[in-house]
Amino acid sequence: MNSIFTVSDLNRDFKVTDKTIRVLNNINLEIEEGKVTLILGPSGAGKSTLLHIIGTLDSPTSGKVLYKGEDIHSLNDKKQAKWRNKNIGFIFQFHYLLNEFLAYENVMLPSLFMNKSFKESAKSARELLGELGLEERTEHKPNELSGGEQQRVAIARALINDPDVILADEPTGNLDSKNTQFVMDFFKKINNEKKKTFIIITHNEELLKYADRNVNMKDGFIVA
Amino acid sequence: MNHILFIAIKHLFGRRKTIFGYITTGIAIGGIFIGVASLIIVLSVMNGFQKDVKERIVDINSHVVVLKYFNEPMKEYKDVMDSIRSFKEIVSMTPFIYSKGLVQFENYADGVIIRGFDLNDSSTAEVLRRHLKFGEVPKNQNEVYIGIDLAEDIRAHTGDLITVATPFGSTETMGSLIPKVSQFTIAGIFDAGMYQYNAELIYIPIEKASEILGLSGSVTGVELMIKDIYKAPELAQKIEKRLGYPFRTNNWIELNGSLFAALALEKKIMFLILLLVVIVAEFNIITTLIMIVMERTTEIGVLKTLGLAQRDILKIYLYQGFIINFIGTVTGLAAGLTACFLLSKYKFIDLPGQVYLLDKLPVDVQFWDVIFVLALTVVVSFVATLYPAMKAASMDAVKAIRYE
Ligand SMILES: Nc1ncnc2c1ncn2[C@@H]1O[C@H](COP(=O)(O)OP(=O)(O)O)[C@@H](O)[C@H]1O
Ligand SMILES: [Mg+2]
Repeated sequence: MNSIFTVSDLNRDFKVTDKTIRVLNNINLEIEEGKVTLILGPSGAGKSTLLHIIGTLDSPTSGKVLYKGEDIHSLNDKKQAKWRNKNIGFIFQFHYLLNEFLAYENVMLPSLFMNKSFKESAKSARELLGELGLEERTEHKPNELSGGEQQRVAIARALINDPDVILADEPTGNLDSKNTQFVMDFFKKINNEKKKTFIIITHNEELLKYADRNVNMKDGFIVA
Repeated sequence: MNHILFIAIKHLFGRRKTIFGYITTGIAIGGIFIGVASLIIVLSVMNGFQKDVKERIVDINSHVVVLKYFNEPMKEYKDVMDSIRSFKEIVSMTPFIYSKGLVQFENYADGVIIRGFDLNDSSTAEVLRRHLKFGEVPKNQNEVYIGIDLAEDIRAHTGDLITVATPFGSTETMGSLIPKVSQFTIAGIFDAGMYQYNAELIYIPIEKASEILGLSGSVTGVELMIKDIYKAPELAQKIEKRLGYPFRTNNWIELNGSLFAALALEKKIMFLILLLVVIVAEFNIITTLIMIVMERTTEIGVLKTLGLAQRDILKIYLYQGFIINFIGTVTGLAAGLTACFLLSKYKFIDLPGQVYLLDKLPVDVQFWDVIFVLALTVVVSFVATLYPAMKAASMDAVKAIRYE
């Protein structure tokens, strides 16, 4: 087995007023490259926190996360930002599109951050939106789009830099079953075609059929 | 366009949560506008004032004067002139008399400064002609030339016969002072542009002045016009060295030193006061930027997930501060310069001459003043922008995108 992420002895504490709570408890986890891993568990189990730490949005209190053998939390802020930009596509329950930017402008941002030109970035943004069935919506503001369309724009934005890993926190949480199926089929398609690694948090047991592996969490522990 | 700037512009001018957001941005820009414009206008007016006062002083006064110690009357003025004639810096020289007296016309009387001048000296004649307002420049020993405000004070016109009283004029009675009284016709009335001169000066031909002041042919000293007025102290010293005791010199810079020092101090103080306007304006900018940062918490977090580092976020907000400052500064600069231009072209602001020396508001825009104002604004605005920008940069990405 070829691990893209190795999480070892990971703990995460939060200070709430005067007491400390342990939200992640001695997590050890291997994420296999090119596979779809589903993380399930009740609300408050620590799923999001784990995903944030894997994506360097948050730091562990102790323990390590290796990405292809490299300790990503030992990198400085600038290197982490660059690493996220290049290797990680984030998708959340909410689309978090930027309101003032048109759909394709939203999608091209990570490409611009990579110092690609406006022209080149805009071109690949439009292509990607086309693949997601949004060729008619490229020049629209996010608030002119339906919920399903907004989420697809967010997915295009996560994929524009062709990252190795997609970290998705309840990506279909706000979608109806039709849109859910579209999104999951699309994920599966690029997982098959491009061998991208997916870590998807979900409540929805129906998604299990898309998973190569599932991880169950409860109260900060991995239970199965 | 740089992508950081792209985001900065969208954040600054994009949709705001409340109309209040636009108002604060407008106020922030307006504050800088007012600060920069008023700095430029006020500094330029102060420069103009200084320059104008200087010009008028050197215009009507000589640049260097040669006197004797204790202002003893100078009989040997011709010798003095001969021995300094070789200084190349001297453009012209002429003997003069300076004393005090009283003029009277009908029921009005006023204290005056008597200036004895050489009717035959061409450069004096030229200066007098330049300021002529009514009548003509005196041509004979019985004519005088008086300032326009003095004429008004004693209600006299050209052609009127006025009485001039001088102390020490009479030596007839020992022990008591009997003023000497003489009569002159007003040949002309002048306007030297400065109230002090217009209200106090009376020009009397030198032979006659010497006579009525009991100087019997002596004069007060010799006055010189020189090429470079700013070399006056230097030349004065050289002359003093050559002539030696009992001669001494004075020059226009030394004579008006306290006035120039006061003007310079005034300029500094105005500068500091107006700098406060800019600083207050920068506080508005801090508030505005903090509001924007607060409204954009989520966006900042999202940008971090997409691969922006803290320093990129910092730059986004530094740019926004820069844009606000740039608009305020450039429009303020344009307005300030336009106002200065209009002021100097149309001179539409009148001053009460008795109070301010000059009767028009003068302007002189100095390049280095403008540069200094701009440089200072840039520094102050950078400092003001730093705090909100650092606040934005240190924002926690996870907090922004958390939901329960
Ligand atoms: N910044 C924080 N401060 C305090 N408690 C937090 C913070 N972030 C998360 N938590 C707590 O950590 C626990 C796990 O949260 P989370 O990872 O979001 O769970 P999940 O995604 O599985 O629902 C929750 O009890 C939550 O309240
Ligand atoms: Mg969660």
